Amino acid sequence: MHDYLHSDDKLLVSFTIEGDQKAFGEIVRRYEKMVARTIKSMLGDIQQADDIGQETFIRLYHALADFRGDAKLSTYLQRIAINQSLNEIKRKGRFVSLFYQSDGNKETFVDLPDNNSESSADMKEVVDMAVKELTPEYRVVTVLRLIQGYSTKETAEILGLPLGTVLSRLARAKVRLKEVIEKLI
Amino acid sequence: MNNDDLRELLLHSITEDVSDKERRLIEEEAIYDYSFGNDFRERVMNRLEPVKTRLFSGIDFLRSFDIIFKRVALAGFTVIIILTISLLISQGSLSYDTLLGLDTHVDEGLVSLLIK
Repeated sequence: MHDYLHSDDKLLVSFTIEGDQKAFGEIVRRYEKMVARTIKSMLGDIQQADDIGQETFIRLYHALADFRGDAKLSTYLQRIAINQSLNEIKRKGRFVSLFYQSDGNKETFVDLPDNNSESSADMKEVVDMAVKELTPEYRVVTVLRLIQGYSTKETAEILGLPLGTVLSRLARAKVRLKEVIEKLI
Repeated sequence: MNNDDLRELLLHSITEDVSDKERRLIEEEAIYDYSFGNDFRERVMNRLEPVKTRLFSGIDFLRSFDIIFKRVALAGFTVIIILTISLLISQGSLSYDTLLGLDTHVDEGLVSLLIK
């Protein structure tokens, strides 16, 4: 009987590849929260988010045989979660946020609350709404950097983008977020 | 920390590194603690069962093939050894004729005549 709780990720991966499902169950337990935060920050707290979370882990399971351990398992999983979220956004052809509508590249705000409204006190809600207002390319970098707390280098690694691209996207996202948050608070 | 300070810290953290203490503060005060449903793990594991069968069926087939091949080869080799030993005991030699079963033929026999 393996001690899954104290096994590192590489060991859990090798147990899983050998057919030990409990080891994969421990991987799910370990990273469930992280994946939920990424997917729901990208898409919103919607019903499909759970399905996409499940799909993310199923895809990880499929990919484990090819996992060589060059990157951390969490990085690998984040990449899958981000790709799944972007696919969902693309599939629906619209952003899930309730207050935002997209018409191609044209961005339109829908009924953002004004200053001094009661909801402005809830910073979590404001940040959540502001992040979802960003276009996907800026939302992705913001979720990884602001919500998940990754460094810019790690963000670039997860997304497979040059560091300069990530930095410039973060700078633009920051300007946009500032505008939206100031409007909401 | 008031909202203005928190907002500044938030925006600062997007492009600049922040301390662990500031990071904890951001997580506690400004970021939703999202999670999936209670039975998320069970649902993933349930979906995994058919996937597991597909994923490992190819590997299992190759393993089974390998094991079966070894068993058949070993059994065949054993039979050959036993037959050779029994031939050696009964005929007293392992000449080419003995192996072909031609060493004991009688020249007047029908088979011998046919061979000639």
